[in-house]
Amino acid sequence: MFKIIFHQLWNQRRMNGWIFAELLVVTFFLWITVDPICVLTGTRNIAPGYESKGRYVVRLGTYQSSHGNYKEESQNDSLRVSYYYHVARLLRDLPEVESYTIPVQLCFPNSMNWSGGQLFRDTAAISEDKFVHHQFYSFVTIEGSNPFSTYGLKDVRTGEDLQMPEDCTNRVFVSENLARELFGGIDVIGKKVYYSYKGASEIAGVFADYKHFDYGQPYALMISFEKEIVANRWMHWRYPFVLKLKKGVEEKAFEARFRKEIVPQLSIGNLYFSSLKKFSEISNEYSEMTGTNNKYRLQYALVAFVILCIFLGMLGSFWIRCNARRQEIGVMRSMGASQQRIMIQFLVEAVMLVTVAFLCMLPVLFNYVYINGMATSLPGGTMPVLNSAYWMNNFGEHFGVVSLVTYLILLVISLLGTIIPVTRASRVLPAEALRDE
Amino acid sequence: MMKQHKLFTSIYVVGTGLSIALIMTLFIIFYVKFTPIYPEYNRDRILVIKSVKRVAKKNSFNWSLNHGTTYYMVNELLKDLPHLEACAAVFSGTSWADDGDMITLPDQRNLLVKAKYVNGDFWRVFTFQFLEGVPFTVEETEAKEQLAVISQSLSQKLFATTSSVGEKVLFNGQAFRVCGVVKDVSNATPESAAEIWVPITNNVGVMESYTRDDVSGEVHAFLLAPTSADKKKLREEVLDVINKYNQQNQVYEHEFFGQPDEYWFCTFRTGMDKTVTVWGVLKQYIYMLLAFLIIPALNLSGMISSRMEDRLSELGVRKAYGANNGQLIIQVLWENLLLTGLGGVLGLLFSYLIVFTASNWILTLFDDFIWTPGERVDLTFEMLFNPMIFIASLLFCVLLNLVSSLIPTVWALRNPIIQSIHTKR
Repeated sequence: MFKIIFHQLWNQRRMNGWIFAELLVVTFFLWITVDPICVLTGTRNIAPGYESKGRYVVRLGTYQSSHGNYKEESQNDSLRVSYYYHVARLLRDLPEVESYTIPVQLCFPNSMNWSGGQLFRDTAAISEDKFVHHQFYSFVTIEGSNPFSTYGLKDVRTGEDLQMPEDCTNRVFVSENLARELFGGIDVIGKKVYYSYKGASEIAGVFADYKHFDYGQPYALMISFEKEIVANRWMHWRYPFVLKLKKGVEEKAFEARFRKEIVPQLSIGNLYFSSLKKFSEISNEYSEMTGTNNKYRLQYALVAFVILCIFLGMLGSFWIRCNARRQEIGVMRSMGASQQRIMIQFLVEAVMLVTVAFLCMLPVLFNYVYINGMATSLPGGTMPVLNSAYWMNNFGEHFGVVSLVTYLILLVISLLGTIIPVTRASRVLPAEALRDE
Repeated sequence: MMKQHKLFTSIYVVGTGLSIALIMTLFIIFYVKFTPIYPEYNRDRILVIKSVKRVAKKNSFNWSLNHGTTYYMVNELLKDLPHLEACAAVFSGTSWADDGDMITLPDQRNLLVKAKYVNGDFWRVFTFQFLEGVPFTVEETEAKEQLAVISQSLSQKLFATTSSVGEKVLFNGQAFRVCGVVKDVSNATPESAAEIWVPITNNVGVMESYTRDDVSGEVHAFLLAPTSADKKKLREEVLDVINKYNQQNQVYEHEFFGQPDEYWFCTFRTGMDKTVTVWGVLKQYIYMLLAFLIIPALNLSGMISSRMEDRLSELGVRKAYGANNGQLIIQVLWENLLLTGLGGVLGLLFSYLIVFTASNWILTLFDDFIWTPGERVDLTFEMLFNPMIFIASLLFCVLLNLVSSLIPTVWALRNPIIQSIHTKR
């Protein structure tokens, strides 16, 4: 059968030339269009290292001195701190809330703020400038604030929730990738890490790799603690609150009650309630702002365009081909060939066309991406150490995955475009097909 | 022909429609972004400054990046340039702090509004249509007058009328007097769109940076040249000001990433820290445009080629009776143009459907960063139904027709008359 098909393809090379050229162009275009989708989706699916269900960020605002509601008498530093304590207790004691925390400078997933720095394994490394670049999160520990329980950060060794140390002074927790980059392993509890000014902190625990951006890869992260709230004019921005709801609490009911009953209580001094947002909302907002959602929309639209084009191309091409080969089909049917046999022959022709075009284009694609590079995910920070465990970080695996996805899309769509005219043609009765012979 | 070859016609029309729909969607996006539309009819005379990077002269690792310049730069450094007719300063606030500007309603409820803090020249650079009243002036801006220009829909919402000049609005807790009401502005023109515009001097943050004599801040500057031809000179004058400022500043060097930009070019400056190049911008769109043209064209070429095989004998007979290749090519091109035109009309309608249904995000589809995602964007009649769009649509149809029909037709006509007529046997 394959010999016959090869002959057919060669004999009809002029007719096949156009669809073959289209398949070549489409293979190239589809590959570079599918690549970002694969990378974004692959990155999104990397475990985030935290839990987002039932987590809310509460943010406050402060009336500026030019605002009509501004109260001069409330600008006293100790009063402002006491207002914050009041709000912290109010949120902590809500019956729906299991735990809460106060992240310093918006250190929660997908926030617009990203703070990082250099970390050293010992003082000798400082003089040699051998640092590990890391992101840092900091949490205020007042009034029972517990970031581990609230974010759902797990101990990398036990898989259980991390426990807050009794004394947080100069204690830090590090992510698995930071521990490995610094010390080559995760048995690092009790070891010290140093800052460029030679101050040191002791590692109190290691948590699983953590992604600040949903569409970014995990970045080395260190968590430290602050014991106090510091009064300043930006404290409403510096100290938001994160709440974790108890299991079984209906999110919509909580939000409704919060807005109706709690929000009025948050207007205290010059503070006022600004927003209550779920982690998932913040993630979506970030994706909208950074154009990630638009990137998806654009790439999906382009893929849909290509798919429709190739579907129409194969449909038209095989429709004409089937009509031109009615006599041949008639002869085959009269000699006992089943409908299925004829369909298979045409479908194999389609598969061969697609496969040959795809194989011809692969070296071109390889050369193109070798020179221009492939799609990349957000590294999660400015100086990432890319984890080779993720396929998108290995050239070969990356090329393989995207090529496979491209080939499968091409094949399925081409077969769908082929199957309609072929089914119609194979149903024809031999006498009818041979009428013109 | 269409009745005889239904499948050919359907695939041809759908293929063409698909290509034209996507091309025209792209065209409409950039038409709205580039060309003069309300209230930005002066776009062809405007230069723009957005992001500015400040780097310490002694340590290049010490830098900060802001998405704008400062009111100080607009009001002190640029205002007396010879080829500057007016310079608008626009502060839109930032969404990252979650705080918005609010108007307090009589029942004490707060209404979140889209506000812009602008200077007096803003009203000369952008051409708003005042339904009532007048804009605040340069002098009133400097005097920090609490005046406000509001949109007709906000006026309707607050006072149930569009005649609200003289009324007071409680904007961020302060009483502002309405001095003008303007025709609504679509968010499709984000640099000028708002519901309320107040003097920039009323913004504490903007005025704080003014006192630091800084040029890196959060104000977008729009410089209006007297004529389009004067933009080049104006640009040189601005660059000269920047150079002098950098030379005088002992501590910092300020990088403007090649700004001031032409208005059309600044729409691509959506990320803050990039030097945008024309080729870098055009490259991705050229790839896309080529794909939108070439892939469907190959599709159509294949089908036309098959049809030409069927029509070889007919063409042979016509050649035998004296028709030359040129005449036959034109005949085939006209026949196909009819189908391409039909596909073009469908494609244009489909592009309108795409643009309308995705209006909230389609204009920012290619942006690296979107400050106010999900905002409602109203696309007006003037943006969508204008001669430019129809002419472009027609041109793309002709181009697609030429690209898809010419080669198969010429190939088919290469055969000698005898061979062409022989194919019918």
